[in-house]
Amino acid sequence: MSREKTISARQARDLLGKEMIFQASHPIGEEIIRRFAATIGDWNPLYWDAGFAGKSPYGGITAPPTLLFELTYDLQTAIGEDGLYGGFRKWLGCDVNLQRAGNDYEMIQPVVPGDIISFRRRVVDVQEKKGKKGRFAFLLSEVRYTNQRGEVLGIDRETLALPLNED
Amino acid sequence: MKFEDIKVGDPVPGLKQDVTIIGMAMYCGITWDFARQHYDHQFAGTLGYEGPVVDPQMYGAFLARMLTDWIAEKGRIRRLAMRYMAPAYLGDTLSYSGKVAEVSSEQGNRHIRCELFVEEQKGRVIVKGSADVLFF
Repeated sequence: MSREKTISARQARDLLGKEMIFQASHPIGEEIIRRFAATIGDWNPLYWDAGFAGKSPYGGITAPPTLLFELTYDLQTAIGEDGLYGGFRKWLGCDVNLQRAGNDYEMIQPVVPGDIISFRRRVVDVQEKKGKKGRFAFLLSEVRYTNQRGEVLGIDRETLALPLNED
Repeated sequence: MKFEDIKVGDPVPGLKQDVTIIGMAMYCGITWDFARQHYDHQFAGTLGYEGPVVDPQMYGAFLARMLTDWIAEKGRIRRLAMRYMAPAYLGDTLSYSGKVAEVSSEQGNRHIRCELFVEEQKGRVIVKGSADVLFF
């Protein structure tokens, strides 16, 4: 039987408007760009060959497009038994199973080595829906990523499904 | 590949991914996402999954790779949207595919929209998505 952690509809509604801001202490480097590319088997010379990338319309090495939306800087927070680092849970303020329902990535400007990223996550909508597997709260967050010059690099509109209990 | 040659209905050259425990561990490591259902069979079971389950954001990484393998340095992805329809598991073979749904070059902005799919080996749809690509 599944050990599902649920929240109440009221707890879910209270998440609306919640914000989290994060500021990286260190710049993006070619190291993470190449490790990410290698992880997904991406040998595109845009990530591997500075000469090729420099002559391309990109003008230099850039990160694979979705790397931005995977960045996390919560490196010093302990990771729990479920494998999740504490920061997000603490921010959410409740212990609940999270399931991804969708991501909508807007890529405004490519990430380049040297970018120091900050992001702001905000819950912009909470909807209750009944599905085949019970009632869920669909939490829509907007995560806005900027660099050290305040330029917006990308926006992730992320939908998480949280199982609801009867309370 | 040239923008001028792209027509509505054209397929995006697809790619296949075998979901392996090593691949999933690598993705957990690089994204600092150690959610245990991605690599621990028993733990995944307690959450109601059949086995270690793919981190959905990994589909985004592979869909983006499929698109950039195709467009190379001639354009860039401007938007990638995904809806996760069903979980994919360790041992699955995923097919990533796409189809051109729209081509436009209004006011010199050369742009295409593609419909995207991820399916497992039995044809079950795992992801429905779409992407906007701008050409330089």
